[in-house]
Amino acid sequence: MPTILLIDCSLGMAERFSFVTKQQNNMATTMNIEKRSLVAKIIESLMTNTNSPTKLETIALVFFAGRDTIKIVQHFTKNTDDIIKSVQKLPIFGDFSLKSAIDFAKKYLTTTFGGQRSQKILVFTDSSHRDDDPIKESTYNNSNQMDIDLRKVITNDERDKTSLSNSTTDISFVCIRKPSSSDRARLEDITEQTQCSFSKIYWLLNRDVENNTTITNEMIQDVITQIKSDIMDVFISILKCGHYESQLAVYPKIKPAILQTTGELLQPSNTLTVNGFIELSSIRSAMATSKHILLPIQRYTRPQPPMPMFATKKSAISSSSSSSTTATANSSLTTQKKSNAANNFYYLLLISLKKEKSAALISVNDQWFGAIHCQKFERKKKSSRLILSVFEPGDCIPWISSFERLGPYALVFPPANNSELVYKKQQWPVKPFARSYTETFLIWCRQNNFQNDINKFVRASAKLPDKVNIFHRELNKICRGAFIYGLRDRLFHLLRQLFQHQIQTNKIKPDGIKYVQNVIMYMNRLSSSDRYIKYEETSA
Amino acid sequence: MDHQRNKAVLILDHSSFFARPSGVTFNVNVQNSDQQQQQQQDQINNENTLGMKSLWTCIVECVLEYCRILFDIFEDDALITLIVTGIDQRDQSSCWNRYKNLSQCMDFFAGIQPPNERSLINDDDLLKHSLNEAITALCTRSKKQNIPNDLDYTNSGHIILFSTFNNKRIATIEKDAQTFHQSHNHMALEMTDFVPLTKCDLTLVDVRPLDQPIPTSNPEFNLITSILHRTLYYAQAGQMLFTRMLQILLKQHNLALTTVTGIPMKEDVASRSSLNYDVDIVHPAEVHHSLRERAPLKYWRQIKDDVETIVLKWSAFSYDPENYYDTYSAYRFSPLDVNSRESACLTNFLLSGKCVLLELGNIPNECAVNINEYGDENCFNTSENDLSSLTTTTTATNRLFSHMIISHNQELMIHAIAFGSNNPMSKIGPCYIVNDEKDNMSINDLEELMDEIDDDNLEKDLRVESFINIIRTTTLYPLETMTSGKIPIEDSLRLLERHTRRCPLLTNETILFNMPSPINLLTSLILREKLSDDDVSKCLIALKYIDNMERNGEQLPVPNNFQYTTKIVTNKAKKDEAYRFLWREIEYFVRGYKETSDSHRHIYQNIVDRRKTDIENDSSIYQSNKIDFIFPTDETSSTSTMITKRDKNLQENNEKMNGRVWTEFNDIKQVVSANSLRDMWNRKQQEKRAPEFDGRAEYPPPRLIPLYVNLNSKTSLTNPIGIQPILTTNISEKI
Repeated sequence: MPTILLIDCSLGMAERFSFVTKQQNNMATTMNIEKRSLVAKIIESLMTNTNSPTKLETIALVFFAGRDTIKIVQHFTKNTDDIIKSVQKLPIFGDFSLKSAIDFAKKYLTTTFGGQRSQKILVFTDSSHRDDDPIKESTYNNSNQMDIDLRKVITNDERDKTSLSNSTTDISFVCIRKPSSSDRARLEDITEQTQCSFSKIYWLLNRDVENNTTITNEMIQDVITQIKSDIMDVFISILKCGHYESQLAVYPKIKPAILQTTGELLQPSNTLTVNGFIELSSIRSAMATSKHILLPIQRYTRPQPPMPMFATKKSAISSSSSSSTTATANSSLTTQKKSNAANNFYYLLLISLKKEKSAALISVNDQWFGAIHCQKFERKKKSSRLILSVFEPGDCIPWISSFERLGPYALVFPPANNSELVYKKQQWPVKPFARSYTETFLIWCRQNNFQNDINKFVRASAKLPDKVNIFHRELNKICRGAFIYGLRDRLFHLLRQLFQHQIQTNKIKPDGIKYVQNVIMYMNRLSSSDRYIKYEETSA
Repeated sequence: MDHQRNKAVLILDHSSFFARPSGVTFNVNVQNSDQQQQQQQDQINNENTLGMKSLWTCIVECVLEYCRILFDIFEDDALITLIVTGIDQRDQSSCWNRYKNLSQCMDFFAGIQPPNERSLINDDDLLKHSLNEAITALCTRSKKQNIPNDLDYTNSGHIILFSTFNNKRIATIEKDAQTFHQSHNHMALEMTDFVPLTKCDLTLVDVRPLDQPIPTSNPEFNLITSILHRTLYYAQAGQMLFTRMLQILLKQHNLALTTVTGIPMKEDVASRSSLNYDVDIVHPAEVHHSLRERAPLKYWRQIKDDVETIVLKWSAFSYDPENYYDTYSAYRFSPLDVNSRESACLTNFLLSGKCVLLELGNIPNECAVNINEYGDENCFNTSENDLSSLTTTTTATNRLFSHMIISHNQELMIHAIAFGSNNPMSKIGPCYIVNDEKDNMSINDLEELMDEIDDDNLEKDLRVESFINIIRTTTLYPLETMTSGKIPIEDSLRLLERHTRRCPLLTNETILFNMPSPINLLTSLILREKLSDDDVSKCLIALKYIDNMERNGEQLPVPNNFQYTTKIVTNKAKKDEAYRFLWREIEYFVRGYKETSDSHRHIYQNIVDRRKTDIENDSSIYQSNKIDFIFPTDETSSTSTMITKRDKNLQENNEKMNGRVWTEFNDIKQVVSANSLRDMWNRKQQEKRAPEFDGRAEYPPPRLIPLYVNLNSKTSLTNPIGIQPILTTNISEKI
């Protein structure tokens, strides 16, 4: 997911702080550093920690200050070293205009990636000392709490309803001090103005302790872990198809969604279960709320010296078994790659879907479906990935009336008398509804529509006695039209004249004359009738 | 899609005024291809072939077009009621079910006589009555409103009244509408059959013949009450009336126009017309939202006959419906001039199954970021990897596909595409690498891991053909009739379960699945739920056949890199092992299905009776089907019944080991830690271990059995037997 780091370079960033680093021997050294170097430190440690080897994140660096003082320092890259390098020399400019900076970042994202669904902006700023546009503090009393995820989801959803495409960009703010409630309201307000969705605010210092202006390394680390857990967008999941299973990384994370019919909030399940398959030409680019790439998981263990595996905090709590030394991993990389049995099913699915031009219908949760298809990438023609499209929960795809009412081929089209099943692509049933473009309706709104219908009719008369059926069909159409549009007197009169003229000028073959005369008589009868009566051969 | 749509009532004045000629003519003359002759004929025949439409005809044409577009786009959701003054509507309660499609609307008009030229005295009363009828209809429940709920308070509707007006008449109508509306809302409070009308637009269209000028082309607005709004349009019959109708339609139902431009069409050489065509299509206005993300709509907007339209270019980029495009919304659309040749050509093209991408003209400069302008070149640390992305950015701006038009089961749809060809996903590596945090990978290692895996290489090892068969069996199709109590998609899950139960993933792990006819019948027949006697005998023949092969010493189709366990490399030893493996495979395979029916059990018994193989434990013989980690039974998923009972021991052992429930693993480390090599090794060890003693098994993990349970609970004094204290003293003495 593309992310822009938007860094405040206004004068306020030159404010000094004391920064305490603890050495290993518990000796604390205090440095007096500017806010901007603090930001640089945060980004540096953020980058070193999110150095994901899978090249998932692509990050750009933009400095901003005043309305026109915006600079792209680093174009989108996957190389975190470049980012760290560029962030070392943060300049200071005068002004501060957050809104134009966010607008710019949004534009930058769309220029580079188009209207992608998930994009992120991370703003590094310190929002204190700014009162350029004060907002009543009293209305925002609840800002002392951290954000609750639920709330975020709801706001997202509301925005989705009003206009589908507005919430593609998530904005988070990283502040040095905790923003006051008015500052916070201002940030939220700007976010709303720029039509992004407000995600979270992180801060280093609590505002309450005004005197204490020291920052320690631990404080930075705390913030980093918070940001990381939000920004790390990988979701480990199990793909299951009957007895076949594979473990994979879903990127970006599947967000919880709301089932419209009940208003229930659905969490994505850890298991993506294959329910069956649908041909790509039948699913026809069904619209998705989000797209995700599915990657097989490759475990990397250091091939050379057997190293003790250090238990991290989380794993120690959850499982006591992994707290001691690990077995030696002496297999070389290549053999490891091949022996990674957990990925076999992933590849099998990938190749099969590619060959069959099919998609797998998977359930993310109850009543929540998605489709997996295989996508070739233009850059490397031989290599493909599985892409997951997550649909809106419920049955929201107009041409698939209900997911639960899809049945497998073997049961929908059972083979006759116990023979082997032979697959043959079948047409999906067409909803019986008369559409104006699939059936011919008499639309006489425009002059040429009417003219065409008349032309067809008169031309058919010239071909008589051949194709009598067509002539009668056209006749019935015109006569019905005359009744619908309240034209009968004038139209029948004119048509009678026309046909008589046609007979006189020998436009109609001698054998056909009797048909035309029948029709003239029929029209005579019709013009005095209350109701439209269909012309039939026998009635003549 | 789920919320209630606006209701629309159209009232047509049937008074004598509308019998008047409109000034719009029609011609029944045949257009000949021979131009000169036609011109001569025109002069002779014009008098005989020209007719004049009445005002009534013009209005009916417009109303039907209004209905047509609504039905095309909203299908059954298009809530339309037609009222003609002085024509009795018998059944009020079903007014929202009466007109379900266009031909029903047409039937309605076909049954109505054109207005009489002599005026009636009570025309105004009839109009008033129709207005009352219209408001009653708006307050009546539609199909979606049949149960009273919160949605009742979002009931909104439109009344369009085609008539002729003067100021006095307008005032009367406004007053009447207000009275009716209030009385109905009062009624709605007391009766559940009625829903209160929370928003109502009263649109008056003053229709005049062509020779009468209109005072203004702009609509006049008036707020009667906060709920009831009145709009007045003036229109001359013919084209102007049609334009007004379109404006009203777009506004009321939040629709918009798109012009698909530059449609290539094959044309006979003699024709004068150009090769490219434009087709206007109508669709919900939401379709254009995605464009706003890029730039204001004004850049692509054009005014055509007083109606705004967004111009998008037809692109011949791809017509392949087997691509999966990145779309995130889809709406029905309908051609504006449906019977024209151009529209018919477009719709036929789409209905034949093709899809077309629509391209956006260039993005204006001020809406895009010029990277070079904002970037300071000295600051760019562009590594080689990123250079490619830089170049693509500049070229990507040249072509922007914003929409796609396609037909789904004969319905025309327009999709919004997530546009921009620079897909960040395309640069993501082929796998996700997990490593330990402290363990920094060298770049070389990383690159080796990130090597693109060639699809063709993969294909060789995997049993793709057999999986494709499974895919075909479970390709989903909609079922129209449903047997009660059965959910069709669960049948598919059951099928998948059955087909994958005993099916190897890799080619080099199986002999059975490579066997030629008639043995391959075994693998396909056993999968069936019911076996006929014929099927059973076929299976038994297959078994006999293998027996014969073994006796004759025939070679088996052993895969190339089959892992032999035998150390002896002679051909005979290998062949023996292959047969042994084959029998094991057969036994394992059939055992998986023996519970399906008596016939299955019969076949299995036959295999056991051959005593070719020991009955082994229930773990899979296909190593690659076994996964290194244990999966939880997922309570939330509907498939919990499907969770395999595979490796019961293994699961039990796992429980003993960490006893943790697999609830959530957002953190990847958690997953890894549970599946480290050490864990796998531990599990292996557990498997080998002897079964648990009964005594120990009674206790929950970690199975510590307290010794001397009674030691503390019973004191020596109360102890009737008194052995225990003595025993302890004895021991202490000995020590």
